Amino acid sequence: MLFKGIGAAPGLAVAPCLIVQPLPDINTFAQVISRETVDEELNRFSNAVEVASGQLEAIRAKAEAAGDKTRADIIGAQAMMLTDPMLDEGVRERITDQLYSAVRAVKEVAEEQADILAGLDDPYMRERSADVKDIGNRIMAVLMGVQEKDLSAIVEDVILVGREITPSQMASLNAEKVKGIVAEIGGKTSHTAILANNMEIAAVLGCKDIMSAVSDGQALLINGGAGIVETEITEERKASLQVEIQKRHRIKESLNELIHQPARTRDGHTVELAANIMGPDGAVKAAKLGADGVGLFRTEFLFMDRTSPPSEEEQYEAYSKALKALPGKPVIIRTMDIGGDKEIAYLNLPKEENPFLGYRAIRICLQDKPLFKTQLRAILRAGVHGRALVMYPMIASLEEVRAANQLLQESKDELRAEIQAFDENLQAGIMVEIPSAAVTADLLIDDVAFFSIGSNDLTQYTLAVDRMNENISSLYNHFQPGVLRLIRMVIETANRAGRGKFAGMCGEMASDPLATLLLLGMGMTEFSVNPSALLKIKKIITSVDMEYAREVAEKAMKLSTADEISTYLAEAIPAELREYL
Amino acid sequence: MVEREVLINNPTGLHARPASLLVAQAAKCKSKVSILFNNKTINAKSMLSVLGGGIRKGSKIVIVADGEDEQDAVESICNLIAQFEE
Repeated sequence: MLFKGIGAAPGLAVAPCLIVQPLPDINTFAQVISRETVDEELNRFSNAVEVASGQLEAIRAKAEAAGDKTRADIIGAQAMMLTDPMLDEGVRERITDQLYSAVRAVKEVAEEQADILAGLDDPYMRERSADVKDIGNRIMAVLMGVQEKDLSAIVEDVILVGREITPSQMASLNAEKVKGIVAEIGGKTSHTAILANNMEIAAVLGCKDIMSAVSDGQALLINGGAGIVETEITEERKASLQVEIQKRHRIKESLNELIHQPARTRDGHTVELAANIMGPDGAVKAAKLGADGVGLFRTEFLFMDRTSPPSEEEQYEAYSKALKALPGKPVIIRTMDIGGDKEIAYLNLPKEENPFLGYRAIRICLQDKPLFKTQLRAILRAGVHGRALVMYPMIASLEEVRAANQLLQESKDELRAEIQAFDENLQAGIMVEIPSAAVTADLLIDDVAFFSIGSNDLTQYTLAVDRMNENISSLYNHFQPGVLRLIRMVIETANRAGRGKFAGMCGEMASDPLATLLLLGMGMTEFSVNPSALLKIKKIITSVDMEYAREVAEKAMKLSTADEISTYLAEAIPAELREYL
Repeated sequence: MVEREVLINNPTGLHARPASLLVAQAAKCKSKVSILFNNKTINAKSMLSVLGGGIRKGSKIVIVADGEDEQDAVESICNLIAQFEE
């Protein structure tokens, strides 16, 4: 039988299933107690909370020891809720006044609290609601004497199946052996899905009725990307799947061999292959992947989900941490790119008719000077911990570059006067994402250290295609000759200028394997890509000659439509590399 | 018993981080601290209670403290809420 659910985390696996039993029906346990046993029942409750708290602490400590902060934080937040007065008082009241058994009281209070939060119609609150249910179940399991299946002790490959797989179960399981997760409830944005992605375990959630169709040990197939689970698998199919799984595994392994190799073509041309990151933790991940640095640190994420902008000190800490994770390697810190599709409530930006053409990024920074200088000062100070570069987004003209550089100079003067340590030689570059900047690259180059092509916005602005508008999404294509000519112009201008100036790209196009040969052949020297694409792109670069890439670029630039170009580029990729795409 | 009315003016209301800051502050007080909002009494020392209150930007709430440090309790919590607005 084939079951369809929500593909919550990609991955393909065949393994016997291990059913995570739901809690026993609480109706089989005593619902009421007698007046005489109230104290005893209160004690049972206190002890159960203590046991549950010990379980969570053990899981949290394990996650922390493994360096998994996301897991540790989710469990830490649950541990705090265990001792929340609402829960504690609610349960005690029901035991004392209504003579409820502890298990019934916990169930009722946890459900009541979870419902209140779920009713607030807010994604954050819904997650907290799931957390409350999770801890309620944990206490109830202790009260009912249910031995928690120790998911960390699983020694054979399995696919876990349950009515629900909770975040705390996810956090405790042995990620080496659990090949897949299937649950009847949950969705793409649930904590369980986030953790599954993080742990690289295939997950299909919201898979209705799966529990009634499987039994322990039965072979299951899970395809996390497609959201499919199969329960009857012929030996033949199983064998062919094993081949596919092994192939994927082999590809992954062979890519891992590239981690410590430079991004150098067979004929000895080296480029810088860096990663895009959203915060300091991303730099740690980038270092593990063997990135040559960070080509785009999206600092706006430090400004989101809070009620006031981050202080200089807070930003300094974040940038320093990223720099320390990549000693000696360049880390390009882009000043905040807010506005457009990224809103921030506390800046009180007015609603706009055309936000992508409006008050955003450097345009805000050049008006709100204190906000901008706080960030520049933090970057300058962090610069002493490594090789920081600063990058201004949404530059349209030379005036803006000069105004931004002027504020950078003022920030340096201030720090010097305060006798603070900072990077005196911090280099500044710009995002090239507005066509006017691309066309006037030769006028801008003297005032900047580098260009980084923001291919997403450059495509949208060049083609006049709103990339958020689904009706015209087919028109959005970075292989349009108009876009490619601008990109070539920017690269050639930087390469001609000498003086250590360079052109790179940090947009999605840099992570598109179809574009790798073209960009390389155009002479681009820095690729900043999504961490998940880094090794794939390195595989392509290290498998070809620069000479060949130049030929490909030249031919592609003679073609007239985006379709012709992408078809040609797909054919140009050497056959032995296609399985890596 | 000491009480004071305050306006919640930060964009997200008593959500996520502001809520946890408020609960942490309330937990430091010896007095019983509650929030009156929408005819409900919210236990300011409980994250669940504060989150469940659904207090948004523009809500007028009353901070009530009862106990030995009631004056300081109301003062410190109102100061904290004032800082959210910045």
